[in-house]
Amino acid sequence: MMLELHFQEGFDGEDIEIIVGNRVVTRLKLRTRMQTGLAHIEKLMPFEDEARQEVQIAIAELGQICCIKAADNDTVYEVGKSEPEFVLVNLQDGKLTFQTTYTAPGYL
Amino acid sequence: MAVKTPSAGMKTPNSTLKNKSKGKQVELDTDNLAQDVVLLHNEEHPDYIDGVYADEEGLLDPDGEENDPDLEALTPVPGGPIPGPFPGPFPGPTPRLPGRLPGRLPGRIPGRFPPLNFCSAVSGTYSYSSPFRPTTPIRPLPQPLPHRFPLPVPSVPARPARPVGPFIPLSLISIKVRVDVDRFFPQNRISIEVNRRFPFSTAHAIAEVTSDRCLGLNKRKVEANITYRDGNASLIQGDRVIFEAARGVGFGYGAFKLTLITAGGSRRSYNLNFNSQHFDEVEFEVDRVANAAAPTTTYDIGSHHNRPGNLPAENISLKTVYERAGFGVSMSPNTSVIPTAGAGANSTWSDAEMHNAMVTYWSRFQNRPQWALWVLFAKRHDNGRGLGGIMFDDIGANHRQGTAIFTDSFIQDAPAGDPNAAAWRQRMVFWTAVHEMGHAFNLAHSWQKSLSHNGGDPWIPLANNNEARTFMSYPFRVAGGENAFFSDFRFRFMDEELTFMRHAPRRFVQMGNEDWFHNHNLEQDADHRLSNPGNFDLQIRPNRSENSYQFLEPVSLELKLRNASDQALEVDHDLLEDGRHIALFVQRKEGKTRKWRALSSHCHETKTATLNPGEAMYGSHLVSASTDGWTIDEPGFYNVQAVVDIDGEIVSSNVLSIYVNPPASKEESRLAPDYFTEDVGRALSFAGAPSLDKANDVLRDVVARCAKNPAARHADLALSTPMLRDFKVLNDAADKSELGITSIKAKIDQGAKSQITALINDPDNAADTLGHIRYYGMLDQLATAMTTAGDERGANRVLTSAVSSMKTRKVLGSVIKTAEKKISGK
Repeated sequence: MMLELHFQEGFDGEDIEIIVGNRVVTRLKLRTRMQTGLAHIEKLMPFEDEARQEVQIAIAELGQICCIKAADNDTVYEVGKSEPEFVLVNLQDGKLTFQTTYTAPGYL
Repeated sequence: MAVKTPSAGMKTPNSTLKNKSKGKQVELDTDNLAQDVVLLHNEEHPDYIDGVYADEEGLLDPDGEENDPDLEALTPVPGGPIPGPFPGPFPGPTPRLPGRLPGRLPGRIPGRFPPLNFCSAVSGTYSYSSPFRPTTPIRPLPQPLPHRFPLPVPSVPARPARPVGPFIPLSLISIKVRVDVDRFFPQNRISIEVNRRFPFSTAHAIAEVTSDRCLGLNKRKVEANITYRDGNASLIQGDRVIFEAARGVGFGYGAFKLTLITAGGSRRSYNLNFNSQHFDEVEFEVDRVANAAAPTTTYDIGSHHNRPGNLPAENISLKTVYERAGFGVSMSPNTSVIPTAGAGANSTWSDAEMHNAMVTYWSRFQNRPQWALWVLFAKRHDNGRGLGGIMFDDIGANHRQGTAIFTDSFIQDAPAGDPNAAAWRQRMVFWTAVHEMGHAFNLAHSWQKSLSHNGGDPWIPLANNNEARTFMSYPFRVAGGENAFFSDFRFRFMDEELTFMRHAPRRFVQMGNEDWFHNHNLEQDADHRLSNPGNFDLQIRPNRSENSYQFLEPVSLELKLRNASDQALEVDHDLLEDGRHIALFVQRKEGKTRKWRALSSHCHETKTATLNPGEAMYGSHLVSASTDGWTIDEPGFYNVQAVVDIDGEIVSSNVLSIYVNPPASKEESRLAPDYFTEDVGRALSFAGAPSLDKANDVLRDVVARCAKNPAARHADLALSTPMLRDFKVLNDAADKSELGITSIKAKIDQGAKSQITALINDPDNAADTLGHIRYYGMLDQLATAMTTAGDERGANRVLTSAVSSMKTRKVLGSVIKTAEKKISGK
């Protein structure tokens, strides 16, 4: 399974950690580019064990950790198993919001 | 990050190869599907307004000004300049001659002549300039200026003696007027731009039209009220604007006049010359990278079935769209194809590479503000197929000069099953080109209108509009997706964007001028304005007689929120006291706007207060210092405006103008670099921060070396307030292994002595500089500390002084009563 995280609107220099399983795969300082409404695209691929993987997005400043778990876990944000999937991550009013889609997002 | 090898397509700014300068031009092939579909004549388009008819009311001007002698054709305004030469057989806006009557207007008359009660279009740009004409050398002194002289006041008589000898026209004052009441998508605005050469100053005002009447054949009168100002307000005096146009010889307009009216009724008039139907002239240059598909610069609206039913099928172009947005557009003939022979395997583009290509290949590149834009069609961006286009130029000092469209990107992906995929693709590429070019006019996406750049802009917030049918939205982002979007899209910008492009101060819009996303919007439709909808009235004020401050003096401002409704309303009890509810915008005059953020805010259980009708609540804030530094740290004029969020209702205040004087001494200048620091800002804002040693040293210097400056009073209070209580500070343990808390013992006698000097010995000046809320709050704090230390008599003296000062300054009775109760111990 491949997962693309699209960090879009609302980022203004936040430090973010992306954790897959127990491993920090990347640390980023994100800032939305207003021309496109996009801050960063992070491609996570492929997950070795789909059913058990868990993606965490941690924002130090907000003390917030958000999880995107595999579909068989008890979570709101379900990640598909067989198709490439895109998770749109926005920061609104100090909270991360998620939206999943199977269509590759476009930016202009 | 992709790195390209040097090639013809990736030149550095220092490259000597500049095709255009060597005269090498390339005929650019374009991807135009429907060359045989023509553009409609303006008058045939349903979105075009050709003028206005008079009605009974219009013919009977209620002001009785239809026979205003000032506006007889080519008659100069009394006291005004001598009108220029007769401007030609059909001066000004296109005269409405036979065969050009608007089809959509009622009562169309098919005869040879237009109806006698029709006023043709007047939208466009007009100008006035006061000429400097040397008179005979024997009369060196200018005549005194009569009071009725129009403003801006020329420095010489407007009707000079006959010019002698060679004449060098020198305009000391120039005015540009943009009238926007008809033609495509009128915004019913009149904007006025004034430039004074000496002493140099500029002003800009935008007026909203309140009436537009036709008083007879091509005798038109448009009235408007000024709602926005920028720059030196004294150059555009008055709040009411009248624009009048009258016939010259024949049917066409021949005379134009602008009148400014003050609240007192005094009028100043200016005869205008017509310049253009457009609001500004702009040039687009379209270039292509060799491996990209041919640029799409036109689109046949009729080629795809999904469009508004009454939108005519016509072949529009980039030029068409921007002309309908109000610009005179010229397409540069200097198109070129950028070779990629040396680029190697990497055919994608980074923003920096496109910037370098712009420097090399754009024939108009100058890296300075100009009404010109480079449009590049390239194959693909480094970011991949998901990026359809970008205004890449936020690099360097001059932003928004170049924009790019990627022909190998998702904008080519027509939905499966679309019956006309080719037309879909052409539409999407064309739409993307207009969209990216819109960013170069400093237009943000429709859902980003309320956002600011680093918290500093925009000055007047707009509401986001996710559903807007504009080039600045995303078709696939609206409810119902791109099908819903294009079924209701008229290939135009939305009204707020048109108002911005046509009427905002030109530096906000012009390419290469204002930084990208700074001041990216202006104001919105009155129905959606983020201002007081009626429940509340918010004021920001200094609570002192003059709005001027000394250099170094912290600016403390008071907010007052009044319930303007007829029913009791509940609000957060600390709505104006706590920074978390408040946004303050501080703009250095003619400079950038910065958003003020409170240095502290509190998280606590929600507690509401009830405001009865007419009742008000108050708050005070030190506006000079914000979380990211000082907002007011230089001499000059500043505008300050506050906005509060009351359960989603955004209420904005008046705009308060303040002045900061230059340094009064060398000491003040010397101290400034150490004073305008974050630590000093915190120490002043929190009325003391004993741990900030350097800041306290600076404050002691201010007290010692700038004693006459009100800043010394603030400094004294910041140094002495911590003495009024045992003050806890964090300290490193001896071995640096952990932090520990120690307490600095209160020195109430010493602190009280300093505070009495700062607060009571000169109460008026103390209240002036601290503001009422902070001043009386500090007196109360001092009295409480003295009471705690057992000095009841001293505390009573402080409170008695406070009451006396409150009465003198006419503070609210309820506040005085509270203080009096403390004195009496009840």
